[in-house]
Amino acid sequence: MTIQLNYRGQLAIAANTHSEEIEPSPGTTIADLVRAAAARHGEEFARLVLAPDGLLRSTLLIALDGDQIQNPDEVVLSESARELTFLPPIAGG
Amino acid sequence: MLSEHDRQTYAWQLDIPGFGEPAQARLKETTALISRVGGLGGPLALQLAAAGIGKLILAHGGALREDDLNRQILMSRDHIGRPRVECARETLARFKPEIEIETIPSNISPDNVAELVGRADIVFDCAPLFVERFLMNEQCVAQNKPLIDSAMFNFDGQVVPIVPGETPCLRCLYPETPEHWRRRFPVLGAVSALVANIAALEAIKLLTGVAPASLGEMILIDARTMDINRIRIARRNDCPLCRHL
Repeated sequence: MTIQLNYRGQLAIAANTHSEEIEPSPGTTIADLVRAAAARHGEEFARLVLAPDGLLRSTLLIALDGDQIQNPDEVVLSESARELTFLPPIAGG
Repeated sequence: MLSEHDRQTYAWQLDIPGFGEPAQARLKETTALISRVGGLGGPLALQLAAAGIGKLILAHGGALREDDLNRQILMSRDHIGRPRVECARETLARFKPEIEIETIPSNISPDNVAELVGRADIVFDCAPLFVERFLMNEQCVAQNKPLIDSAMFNFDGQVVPIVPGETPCLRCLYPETPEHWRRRFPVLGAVSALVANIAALEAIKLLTGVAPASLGEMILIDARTMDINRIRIARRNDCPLCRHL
C-alpha cells in the first residue's frame, strides 16, 4: 500500500517538500505516521507536530482522503487510504 | 430596495441566474465587519464594495509602512505614516461613494469585539494573530453571527465559512492557541488577494444563497500548483464554545 503525505504551511518548509510517498506497515495508525515523519524531517518539523510530552499537537489538522481526522491515535490506515494532508495552523492576514 | 442607480451599477451581476434583485438587496442591507485591511482584508473589502455591500466596518490599528506595499492594495506610497483604515476608506470611497464605511483605528481587542460584532451581520477574520481570531470567533458564536475565517502562509491559503451551531467554529479546529505561529509570515500580494477573493465569494454565496457556501468544509488553496481542494471538517463534542448549540 502506498500513501501520499501532503504538507502545508510551515510543515512544507520544515520538511523541505510539499509531499512524499510512503508504504506504511499494516496496522499503522495516523499518529504513528506523524511520529515517523517527525523522526525523518528533523527538529523543526517535530516541534510543529508534537507537544513537549510527545503527544500530537491538538492544533495540527489532519485530513485522510478529504475528511478531517479527530482521533489520529485510533485511526488505523486501511488498504483503501490514498492521501493524508497535514495542516499546521496558519493566520496570515 | 434597489435604486435605479443600483440597477445600473450592478446590471452585469443582476444577470447571474439565481441572483437578481433580491440577492442584490440582501447585499445592500448587509453590514460587514472586517478585522484588518491588510493583504487579505484590503482586497476583500474591495470585492465586497464591488459587489454592493451596504456598509463596511474596518478595524485596523497602526499606520502604513513601506513593507506593507507588496500586498496592501488599498494603500499607496503617499499614504506611508498615515492610519491604514483612513487610507482604506479613501480608496474605497473613491471606488464606491455610496457605500457607508466606518473606520475603527484599532485592532480587535477584548474591549471592542463584542460591540463591533454586535453591529455586523457578517464578520471577516483577516487578522495575523490567533488571539484576535479567537476573540471574533467567540463573539460570533455568542451572538450567532456568521464568520468567514481566511488565512494564508507562503503559497498556501485556506477559507472556512463558520455558521455557529451548524459548522465547526474556530475553536473546534484549534482547541488551543497555536504556539508556533509568528506575526511575520512569507506572503505575495497575489496570494493573499486570491484567498481574499475566495472569502468574498463564500460570503456572497452565504448571504444571498445564489450558490451553496462551503459549510462544514475548509477550502484549501495551493497557489504553487493552482490546486483548490476542500476537506470536510467536523465539530468537536467537547468544544467549550459551540458544543451547546
